[in-house]
Amino acid sequence: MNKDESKIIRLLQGLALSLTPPKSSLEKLLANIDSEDVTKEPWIRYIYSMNWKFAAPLILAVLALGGFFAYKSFPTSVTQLAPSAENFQIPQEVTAQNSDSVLTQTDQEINQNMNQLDQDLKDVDAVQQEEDVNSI
Amino acid sequence: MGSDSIDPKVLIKQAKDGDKDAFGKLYKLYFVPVFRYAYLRVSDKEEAENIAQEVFLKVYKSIENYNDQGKDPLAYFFTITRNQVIDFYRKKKPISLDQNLPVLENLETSFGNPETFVDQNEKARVLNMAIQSLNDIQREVVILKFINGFENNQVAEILGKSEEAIRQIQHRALKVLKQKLEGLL
Repeated sequence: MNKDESKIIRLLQGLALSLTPPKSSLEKLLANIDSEDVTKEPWIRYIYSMNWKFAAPLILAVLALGGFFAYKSFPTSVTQLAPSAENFQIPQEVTAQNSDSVLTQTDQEINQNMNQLDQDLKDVDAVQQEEDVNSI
Repeated sequence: MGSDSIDPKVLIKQAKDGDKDAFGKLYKLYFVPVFRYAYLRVSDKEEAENIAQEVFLKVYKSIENYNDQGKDPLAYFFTITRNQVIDFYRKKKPISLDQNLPVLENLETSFGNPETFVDQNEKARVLNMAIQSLNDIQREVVILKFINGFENNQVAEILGKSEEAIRQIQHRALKVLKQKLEGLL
């Protein structure tokens, strides 16, 4: 390294000394860290603090055991829930042949109810009119 | 949990385990070099401070995933710093050539007349401009090696190059600086 290069290096080192960050930087950083510190949440801290080397196999073992019992009990419960083939009947009202009549019946019922409602309202009006006449 | 060590590898391991004192010591070790690097890359004290803050926040948030692989944590900090500087330039509005011209003119006149170096600030300004005139890799080597005082092997690790390559880049960078700083020498 020649004389000029040594001088340049000294100048650069001098420049480095003049480049100092403001002293408030640490406080700012700590404030930023505190405001973003999700690990302050107790449940996250608990998860972080868990010893996963032991916890992971334990969790896997519990899940495997649960899966095994679920598998074992599944076929039995399905057999119990399903009706036997000879007892199984399609409800009459939802068969394709009578689906129109089901619909018509329902419409008729609605019409009857509407007519009844109209009649009731007319009766109420008539009574009201009668009362009005009497009051005069 | 207390941290008495000042070995960055030990400190980062302790910080990873949630030791805030160890993180504080890493801050004391690396904040100034990170700030200096950022400053000489963006030439703005406030922006450099913001970048340095952002670097430490990122390290703090991602330290759980830190995998040392036997490397110096310095490389980890400076990889994040370099990315932050790249992000800074990506977000920054482009500066027109006209805006740069006065700076170039000043640079030429300052180098030509040693008498104009009236104070340390002027000297620092000219040095800074000479550093900015280097190409990217030369500038990075100069900042890391001479401004931050890192060893060649550390610079090589940060920049992902061999020590021999760093020596060559350093040699070329000093040659360019010698030409640019003729008035100062």
